Amino acid sequence: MLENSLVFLSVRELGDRIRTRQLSPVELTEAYLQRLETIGPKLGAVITVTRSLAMEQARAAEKEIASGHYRSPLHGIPYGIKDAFSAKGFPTTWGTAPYRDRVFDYDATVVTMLREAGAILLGKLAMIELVGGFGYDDANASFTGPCVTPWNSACWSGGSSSGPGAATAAGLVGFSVGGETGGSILLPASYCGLAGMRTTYGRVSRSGGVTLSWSLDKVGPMCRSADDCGLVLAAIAGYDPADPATTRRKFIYANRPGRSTRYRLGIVKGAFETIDARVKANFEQSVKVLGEFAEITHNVELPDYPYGPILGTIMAAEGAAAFRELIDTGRMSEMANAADRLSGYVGSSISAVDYLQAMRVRKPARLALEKLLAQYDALIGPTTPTVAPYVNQQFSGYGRHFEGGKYVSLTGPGNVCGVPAITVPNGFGQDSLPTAVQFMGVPWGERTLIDIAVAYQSRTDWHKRRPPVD
Amino acid sequence: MAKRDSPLDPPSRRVFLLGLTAATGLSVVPEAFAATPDPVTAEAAPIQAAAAGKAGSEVDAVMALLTARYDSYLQAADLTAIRHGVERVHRNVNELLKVPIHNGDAPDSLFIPDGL
Repeated sequence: MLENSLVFLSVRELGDRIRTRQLSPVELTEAYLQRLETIGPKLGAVITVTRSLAMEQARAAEKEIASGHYRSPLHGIPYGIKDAFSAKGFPTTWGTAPYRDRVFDYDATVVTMLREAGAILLGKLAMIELVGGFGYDDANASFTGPCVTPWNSACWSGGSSSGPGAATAAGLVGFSVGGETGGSILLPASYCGLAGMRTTYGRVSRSGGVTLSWSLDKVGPMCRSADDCGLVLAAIAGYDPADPATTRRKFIYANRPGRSTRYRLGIVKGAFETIDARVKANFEQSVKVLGEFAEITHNVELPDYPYGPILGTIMAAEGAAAFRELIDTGRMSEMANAADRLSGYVGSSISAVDYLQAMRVRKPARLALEKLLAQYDALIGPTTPTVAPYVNQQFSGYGRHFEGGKYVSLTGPGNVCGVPAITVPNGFGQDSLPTAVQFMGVPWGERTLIDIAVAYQSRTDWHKRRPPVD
Repeated sequence: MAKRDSPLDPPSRRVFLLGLTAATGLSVVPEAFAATPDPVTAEAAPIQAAAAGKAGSEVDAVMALLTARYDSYLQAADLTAIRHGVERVHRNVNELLKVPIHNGDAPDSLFIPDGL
């Protein structure tokens, strides 16, 4: 029986032990499976445990490594994936009742790439139904029920990558992979105290994953450290002919010499001044730490565009098209969340001209944000303005800590413009819940964002704290 | 005329919960994407009333379309919630229309990430 502390190690630490044969992939996989099967349901984090596949892959990894064939830093590392992605022969539910028994006969590209890197698939993790594209108004928006953060079982894990957030933070998997359209990686990573990376649009193939919005969907890692995000991203990034949006640019995550100049960071005006007091205090403390290795510019104003209406219009229209089959057959009535049952009808009423208006406005907004981002290594702000809401709380009434009215989010603009961002934990707030800081950069600038986040985490230990799940 | 919000004035989008709701991936997001009501002056009130009437008739037309399409799936109570959603879409589109773009300004390109 492995020590519990081992399951919370980073991917890099686990990989080092596996590579040097101090740790058995089979034993590690068995330990994670046991936790996934016992703690996972309590958190509402799991949809399908792929035990037979996992043990088969673990035995194969152990044999390969013993024979000297070491594939990558992920070889022998068990992981979980959001149930938005297909895994051949297992149900792929997209978190929703109409698809709870559906099985695809192919793997998503990201599953294939991780298998080729030697990673071990433990299970399909919980998610908000249809990746949260239909207006859910509380945490009960999946056919598996609400998913809670392991830091406080009364509170939501965030969504739509709910299970990846909760399972990774609780040490049920070595790492996980999620997807983001409007914030579905950054939000649960923040609420669960993880490092989570929204990649540049086109960095990671979406083939074999559910589509909510062709022009907004992204895939990215959710890990216990920023460094781990780099290791995982190196395995899943790359061109895929099955996803015409993917880039041929390489993402290489090898050691590189330390930077001789200080990073340039800009604090977004309005991102923290009026938010929850403890989230604000933690952010201000983060800025002090960042000041040890970066030049900080204050009051950086985001280009003035209606990011919310752009995002809302595009997501609603593309989502209504993507799920037209459910909408036109009345099967939206099977959704778990009441709001989710109706918003598809609204989205289907958006005219082509109005959708195109959003796409036309999106372009100058994106170019203006990219121009601003080019002046900095990253723009920063708190990832969320409050800690996680209670699991039974309606989001539309969620203002329990929040006194201001001029909050500026980085998440909406970043998604509209398809630029990368990484979130890392920076402390705790009300109800012992994690808070987080976000770094957003230029397209294809993931490496710099990870380096900044790694530098921050080398000076803090928030990512090493463990939630009370054992 | 009293000062009114400019078309892109921050309060129109920098509203409470924008971060949360945008981050949660809500599509026809309720309050987050709704514009903050402008202060109504005596001078502006008739114009706004006319605009509201026009908006109301457009919403009525969309509701008629949705009812024709999906009537068999909808209860009476659903129509109220859907109407609120349609009104939000309408407000969002009005925000988009305030951004100056010109005849040749094409929609943002899809599926060419290397052109970013």
